[in-house]
Amino acid sequence: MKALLYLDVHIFKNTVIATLKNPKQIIPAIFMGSLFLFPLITIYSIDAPLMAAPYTTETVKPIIFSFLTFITWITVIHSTTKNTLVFSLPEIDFLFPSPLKRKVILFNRVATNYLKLAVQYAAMAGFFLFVFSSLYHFVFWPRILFLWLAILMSMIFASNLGGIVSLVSSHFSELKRSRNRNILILVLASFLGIISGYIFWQVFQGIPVVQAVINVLNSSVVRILMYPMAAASDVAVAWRLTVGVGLKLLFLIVLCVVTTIGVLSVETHFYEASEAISRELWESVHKMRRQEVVVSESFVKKMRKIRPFGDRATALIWKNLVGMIRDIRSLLPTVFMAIFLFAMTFFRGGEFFNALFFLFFLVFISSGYVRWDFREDLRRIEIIKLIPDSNFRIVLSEIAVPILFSTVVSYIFLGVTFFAFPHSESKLVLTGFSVVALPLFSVVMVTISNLSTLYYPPQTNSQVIPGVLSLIFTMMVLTPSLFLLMLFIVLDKMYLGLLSVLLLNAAIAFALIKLLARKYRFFDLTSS
Amino acid sequence: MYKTVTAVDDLSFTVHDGEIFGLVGPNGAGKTTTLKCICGVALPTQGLVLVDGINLQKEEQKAKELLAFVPETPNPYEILTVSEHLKFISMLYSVDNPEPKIEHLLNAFELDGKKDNLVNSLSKGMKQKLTICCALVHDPHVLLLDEPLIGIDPRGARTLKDILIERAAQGDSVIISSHMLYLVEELCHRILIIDDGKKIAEGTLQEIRKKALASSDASLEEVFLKITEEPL
Repeated sequence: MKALLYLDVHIFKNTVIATLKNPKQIIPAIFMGSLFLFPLITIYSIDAPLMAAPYTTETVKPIIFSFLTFITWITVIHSTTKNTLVFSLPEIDFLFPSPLKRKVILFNRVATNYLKLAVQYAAMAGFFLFVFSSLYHFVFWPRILFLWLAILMSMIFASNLGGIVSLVSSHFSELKRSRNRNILILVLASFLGIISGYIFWQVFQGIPVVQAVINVLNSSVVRILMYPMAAASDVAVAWRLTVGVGLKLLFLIVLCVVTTIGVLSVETHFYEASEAISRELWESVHKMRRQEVVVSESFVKKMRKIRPFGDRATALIWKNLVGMIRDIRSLLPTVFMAIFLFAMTFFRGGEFFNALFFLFFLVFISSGYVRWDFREDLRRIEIIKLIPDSNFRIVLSEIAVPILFSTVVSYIFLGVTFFAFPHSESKLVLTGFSVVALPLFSVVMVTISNLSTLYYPPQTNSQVIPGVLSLIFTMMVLTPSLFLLMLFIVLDKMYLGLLSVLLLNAAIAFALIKLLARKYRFFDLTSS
Repeated sequence: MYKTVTAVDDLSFTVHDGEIFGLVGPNGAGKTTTLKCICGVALPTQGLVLVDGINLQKEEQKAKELLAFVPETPNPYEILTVSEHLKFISMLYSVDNPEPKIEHLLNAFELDGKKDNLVNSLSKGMKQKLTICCALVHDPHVLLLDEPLIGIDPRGARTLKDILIERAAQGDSVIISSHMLYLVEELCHRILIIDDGKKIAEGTLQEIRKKALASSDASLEEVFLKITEEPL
């Protein structure tokens, strides 16, 4: 145990020091921190007028109750077939073969997990409650304590329950585990069926749907069936410590202690099962970090083959095109998103001008999803660098496919929008503008994403920061265009404004591509 | 449709004190699973593992104190420094006064200049060297190595070979699983060839040559190719 304490303390200490020492980590961390702190300080500083809270305790409580119940069910069902005790690879390689008792290793994993959960939930609950308590003028303390304790205790309980189920299930065959999961799913489906029936019955009686849902979730039958979560939701919305709240809190603490003892006392050799799931998880996390594609072989077999084309750098266009078509992960969500967004815009109605915003948003989304450019090729950048062609041509070939995809998709919807919306004076001009502006916007978006990937490769950096910086850079690049357009609209010279925006964006797109070519020329993954 | 895969089937062998024992076989033969069963990470469904007469399943901690395992891919704690990592492993195995031993190992594997560096700043080969140092820091009686030379520079490889020979001479047992057949041929006193989880041949190189009906000067590579191609 002494060795594990030494390990935990040194990992924590070194993580803090490494973060503080590395400007690549500390600057984005300060930026992210200020993103959260700025609204908090603003809300706290301003003397906001008294506002009526949109939700009462009676409506918040069922929301918390249903959320906690959902998490618990999912955890338990997942635990029947998958081991929920996930260890890191160093733990597997160095702790599993060591003479430490299995239960000590398990306790260390469980305890550090709970500590992390406690900190995360404290930060999350603190942030949201602070915002709401400042806006709606209610006391922050001790309410935060009750909310935090309730969520933490119920999550520990759910996690322990999952741990016990997975430890016990590890003795069973795959077939039996699968049967157990199906039984649990059936029980859950029946439970949800009864609740839905109850809600329908109330609605049939003339009660509004929202009120019917609240009534059912607050009903004694449902609360008794999921009592730990019901008790947690009562504690979560408590204002002060009363006997009832204290007893429920005590009940949750006892539940957590008992289930923790349960996890630690199940006699099982969990190493093998934990190793398998931990390695699987580690692999998938690394795949996500490296942003590797998920390709379905059966899907690929059904697809028509694209004949190879291109020479030197332009062969990359063929390679990326084939990849994009076979990569269901990026293709399907983009298509569904496009249809959904279009339907939303169409049903909302309004002017043709407003509908165009959807098309630009679609380009923004699709250039983020379809990553068949440097974002995908970063892992094989050494091979790409060997192509005997100019850097500019290589860069153009690399970014061609996402630009082509978002342009084609946006053109399809532009065509539909053109015919679906009623005729207006500016419709023809705006359509002409969009025909040029959409691919230009796509070039800007894709190039910025590629620049952020080369400056902050996902292999050596966290995922969130480059994304945020890329978004800020995009806003900086697009702001002049918006100002220009607004200026000309105010001057009642919209057409001239549109032309200026096109020229400005063409210049920006060219400058960004040149910058990307320069960055690519000096790019070295090992030093990034 | 669920099917159970038997990674290792009816495999029985003994490694004596002072012996370097080679475990060879094609990919997926069950070598790593065998090593994991011996070091207590995987649990055999049948049979038992005895380490110096101690039943691993019954007296796990006692048996594990005598063992050390070097996995194929090194995954040390990235956020510890090299010396902290070795100190931590010494604490796991309750090594008294580990500093001189740590200094000696870091010198031997040319890691002394990196002792205050975080592990994540090391190259793959250096991480492998660190993992080997971790396995040696508590003077194990039985050393299990899974492809130990991958990524290691020639000087480091020589050092490791010398250490293994030295430890065997002191009476410790060493089990090496490797596809580098020249290494197995050079170092191992006896060899076990497994395929599809089953024992194909066991013995000295000479005995295996005989079993494979190979010439008396045939290399382990030739013998291995012959014996795994035509199971006897």
